[in-house]
Amino acid sequence: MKKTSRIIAILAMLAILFTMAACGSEPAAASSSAGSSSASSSSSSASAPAATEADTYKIAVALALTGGSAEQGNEVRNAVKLAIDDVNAAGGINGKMVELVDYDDQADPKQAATVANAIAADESILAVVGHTNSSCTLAGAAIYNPAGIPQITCTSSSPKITDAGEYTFRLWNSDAYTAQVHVETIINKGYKNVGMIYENNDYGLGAYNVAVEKFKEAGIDILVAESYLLGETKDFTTILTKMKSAGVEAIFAVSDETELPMIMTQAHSLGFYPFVTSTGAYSTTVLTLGGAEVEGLYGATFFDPNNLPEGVAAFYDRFMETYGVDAVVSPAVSGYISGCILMDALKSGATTRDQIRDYLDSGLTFDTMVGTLQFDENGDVTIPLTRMVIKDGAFVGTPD
Amino acid sequence: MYLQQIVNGLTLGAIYALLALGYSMIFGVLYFINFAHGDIAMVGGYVTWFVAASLKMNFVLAIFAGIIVSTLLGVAIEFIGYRPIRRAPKLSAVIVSMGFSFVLSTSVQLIWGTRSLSMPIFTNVKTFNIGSIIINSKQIWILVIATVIMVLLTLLINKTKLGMAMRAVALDQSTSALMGVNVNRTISATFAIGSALGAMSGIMMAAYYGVIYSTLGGLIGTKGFAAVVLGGAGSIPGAMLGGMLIGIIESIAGTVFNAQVKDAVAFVVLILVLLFKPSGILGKDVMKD
Repeated sequence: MKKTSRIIAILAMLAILFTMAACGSEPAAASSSAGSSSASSSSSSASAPAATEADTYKIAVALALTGGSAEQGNEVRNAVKLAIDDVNAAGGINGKMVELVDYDDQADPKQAATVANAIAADESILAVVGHTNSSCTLAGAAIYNPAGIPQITCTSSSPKITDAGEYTFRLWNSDAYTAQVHVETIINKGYKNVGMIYENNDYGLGAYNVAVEKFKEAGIDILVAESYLLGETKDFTTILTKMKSAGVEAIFAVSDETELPMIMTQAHSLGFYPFVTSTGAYSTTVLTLGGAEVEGLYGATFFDPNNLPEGVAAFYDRFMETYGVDAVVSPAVSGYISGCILMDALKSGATTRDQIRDYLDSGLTFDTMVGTLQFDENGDVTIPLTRMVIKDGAFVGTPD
Repeated sequence: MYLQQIVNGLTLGAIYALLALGYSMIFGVLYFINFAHGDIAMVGGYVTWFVAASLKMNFVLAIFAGIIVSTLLGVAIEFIGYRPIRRAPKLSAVIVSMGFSFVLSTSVQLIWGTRSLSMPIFTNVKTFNIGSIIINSKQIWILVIATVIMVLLTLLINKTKLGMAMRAVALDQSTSALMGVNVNRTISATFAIGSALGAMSGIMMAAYYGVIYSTLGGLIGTKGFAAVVLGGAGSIPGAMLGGMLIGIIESIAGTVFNAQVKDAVAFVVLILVLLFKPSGILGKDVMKD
């Protein structure tokens, strides 16, 4: 009896330790493989043959190249690379090539801090495009700002990033604006019984706080609001059953493209068919994972998918051709614009970390494919959003 | 709403129970927890996905392919990893099993990547209303298949010669050997059956959520392990009961508190069981040294 309990107790402790280790290290194991592959691709991206350190301008990307948000991370990385390749193909800047250095934060803030320290320690890196998730961007900003490295994030939307520091810039909408668009979708449709599912991180909480306020202004109380752990929660039936029995008709989901189809599928398998609008809807992953289950899902994008501005359509074609993919989504657009702005900075003669920061903060306006952009005094931009819905397995723009 | 949560919990519980059975059977004969078990289950799910989605073959064939690969993998791991150190302290085997767990999950990430993949089996879901409860065809399939497997397993253990050999080896390896039981073959058979059950659990989990991903093994592995401790390590009915209870407790806790508490509940149960009834609900108090 004693012996049995001792064996089991030891095993149990091991199990707990092991799970903790597994949480941290399985993605790590993933990155070592991706790390090696990205290392090879980054050397190819430095397309300058036999370029020595002094001959190149180094720009780092610190993104989720593996892990929960890997798709967005890789899209941004590839888009930045495209912008750099353009410059290199035209002979570089002042005779120097631009080199892209890849860092993988695995969508994990702890790893983001490690990566940020490595970047800060490398004096030759002039600027960083990153990170992917808001929590990672904030973890990185805490290191980049004291170290004086300009940082542009292309996908992080937490309102906290607005105040992250004078070296932190954002080429993406803050949730203060995005959440408002989604909340308005629900209010305009006339729904009164509202539920919310959000990621338990800076991104989700930021959107949640904005949504609560906006709904309250419209006289609507959120009936059920539940958060979940990105990358760990796979079972949403408990949350959805709660919503169903509370009479929720419309859900605002602050979810990534991997979780969103699961939420939709599991809701339908409970016989629960709410109206859903989500921040993660505009991604081809949603279509491939969700299939028929994501029909009628609402989202918001930079442009009407059926009526792309000319420059955007050309960029999409080029991106798809270069990387052999079937579709492009918004993070690639902001990644490309970020890359171009950094190249403009280098061309203008800003070749130190501080000069690049000053260039970004100088109030210059940038003529981009999403219109004219200008970083405000907090380093933020607002890119106007338009609504879309998934119809017959494709994204369709919608006025309401 | 609670009835509905119990139905959801039972479905998850059936999946945990299948996995717990494998843990428990292996614990029964070798007295250690095989931490690679969850990952063997995950590999079963991936192989099924590969055959069904990439090779576009019939889903029944895909499920069998998944089960067969997992079974062979389980037997191979026992042969390569555990057999040479069978006389060593049990901690060595536990550490080896952790090693295999990493090797399996990392290999899968290298082969099929880290993205979630869409599982193309049981996609045609119909829902049925029974009073206030809604049950869908996926849940019915999972519950029916799990029940059939558990009944067959109970018959195998209690009514067949192989089952008798397993029970004998679990009681005392050297005496069973003296009585003419082929211990090595019995242990291999235990790993084969345990891994096949694990594969079924991994496939069901992937089919239930409609996606498969490389960390699935760790996720269901911990739940399966908690189920084993709750039910009583080494006990077959205990593993079934433990799995079902963990599934239901999780769903209820998620309703009463919030969804995030849900995944921690298995560990709270684990600690409480160890404090108050370390042998588990149906575990035997007497075990061999």
